[in-house]
Amino acid sequence: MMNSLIVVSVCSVAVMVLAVVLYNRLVALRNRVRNAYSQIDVQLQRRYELIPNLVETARAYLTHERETLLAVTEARNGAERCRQAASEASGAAGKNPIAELAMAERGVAGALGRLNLVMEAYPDLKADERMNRLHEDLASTENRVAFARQAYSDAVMRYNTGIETFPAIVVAQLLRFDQARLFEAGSEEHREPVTVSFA
Amino acid sequence: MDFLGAQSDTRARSRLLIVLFVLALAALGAGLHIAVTGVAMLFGVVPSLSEPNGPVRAMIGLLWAGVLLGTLFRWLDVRHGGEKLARRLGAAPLEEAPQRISDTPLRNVVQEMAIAASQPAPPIYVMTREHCLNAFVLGTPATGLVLVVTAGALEAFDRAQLQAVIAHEFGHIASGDTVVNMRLLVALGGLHALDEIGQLWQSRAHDRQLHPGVVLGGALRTFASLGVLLGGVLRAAVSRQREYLADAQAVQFTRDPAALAGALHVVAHVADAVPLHDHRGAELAHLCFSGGRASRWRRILASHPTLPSRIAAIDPHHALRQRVRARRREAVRHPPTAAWREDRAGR
Repeated sequence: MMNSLIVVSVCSVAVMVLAVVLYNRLVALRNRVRNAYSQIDVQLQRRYELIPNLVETARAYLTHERETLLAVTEARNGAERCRQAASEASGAAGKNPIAELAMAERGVAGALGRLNLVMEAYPDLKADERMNRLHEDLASTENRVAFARQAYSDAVMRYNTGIETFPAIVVAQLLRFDQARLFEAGSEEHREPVTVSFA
Repeated sequence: MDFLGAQSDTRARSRLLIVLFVLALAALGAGLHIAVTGVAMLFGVVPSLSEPNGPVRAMIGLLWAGVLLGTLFRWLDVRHGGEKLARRLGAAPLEEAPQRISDTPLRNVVQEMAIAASQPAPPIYVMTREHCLNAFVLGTPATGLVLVVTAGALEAFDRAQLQAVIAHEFGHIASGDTVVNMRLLVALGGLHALDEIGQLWQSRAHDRQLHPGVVLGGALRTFASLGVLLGGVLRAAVSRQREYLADAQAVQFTRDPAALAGALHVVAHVADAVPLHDHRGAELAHLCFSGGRASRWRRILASHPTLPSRIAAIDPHHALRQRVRARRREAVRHPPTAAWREDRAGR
């Protein structure tokens, strides 16, 4: 009787310790996902702040391309609104704001792509030193957004694997660790990357 | 390349090597005991190896103190963190570098890779007068990390390659290699101290041939050099595994194996693989992006795997691709003559 009591209590303590360890690991993984998400947010904001600069500099040369510039500005404003909505909802584990932001994001990418195509036709603009620096900054920002997204995907993958594997899945189910969502493109046509040429 | 699988493989292997390193240090402790008591026995001071008397024990204690002091000094050296070490190597912060260097996309590239690696971006230092192609990380996260890049690297690599090189360094940071490396550096400091004590005793008593000090000095030096050699071999083996790991992580961060393979190709073929021009170069070798070329018999002590084997691990078909590209370039430069075409068509 005494022996079985000891066995039961030792086992229950072991299970509790395991549960605590698993829980802590899941929390760490979830926080990493949140951190990675906020990194995307930071980089997107940086990009939205750069775009008005780019448009202002380009405006001096592109007097006949008002529409293209307007499209870029509008896309940027729309994406900025989505970004704010997404960060207010603070949905790290992701609900709709992320998908919407991803869509708006693609819109910006598309508009910038068109602007770049237009700029190809203006050699003066390409020679402008300030424009060149903006170009490198914008290219770098595009990279940063991409890398932040990649880091977010990796963190999501680790977290999702963490909550889906046994025995962590028991803890995850009991304590409602939801699946995190990947930062995905809305549709195929928006998958085009922005082309920034250094030529 | 399967970078996640490659990472867990190399992690397991390097853990084994660290255990071996600890064992080697324990063996050295035993060796120290045998050396001192053995020499004492030779001169009839103690009857057997297992019965050291007072003075022998004091001597062993003294030697251990020497080892500890050596470690301590090395630790003091390392403790100041990356910034001081970088300045001592002649590197200057990127902000103080000349225009042609600060105009490069280095700062942006480092920021990008910091995001990809989910690590804070360390301060950037540039060795403005160093023409070899290299980059390394100094210090530990606790004392302050510093990323050092040579001017040669900034000139020779294109943006994607520079990114791959920086990603490799971030791989070292992310997997905690800087901490391991600094610890190994400190551990080997003790052995160097032992070697120096032996050297001192040998040089002191050159007139009397078989003075106990001379014999003990010789024994100590033998043990210390054996330890340094063994430690060096082990350190190099650990370091080589960590290089593969950092390469795998660089591919994870950039998702661009071709750029990393390209950077290694540039180091191997385009530039002269000069090592760092500094007497501390050997000590820092295991921190660098590439270790230069090593002859066959020195490979066991090399801190880096050979460049072809690293390229093969990243991109198995790199060599073939390079050959095809070279042939295409050749064809553009010397287009086939009309006669050759006719000859071929006729055949």
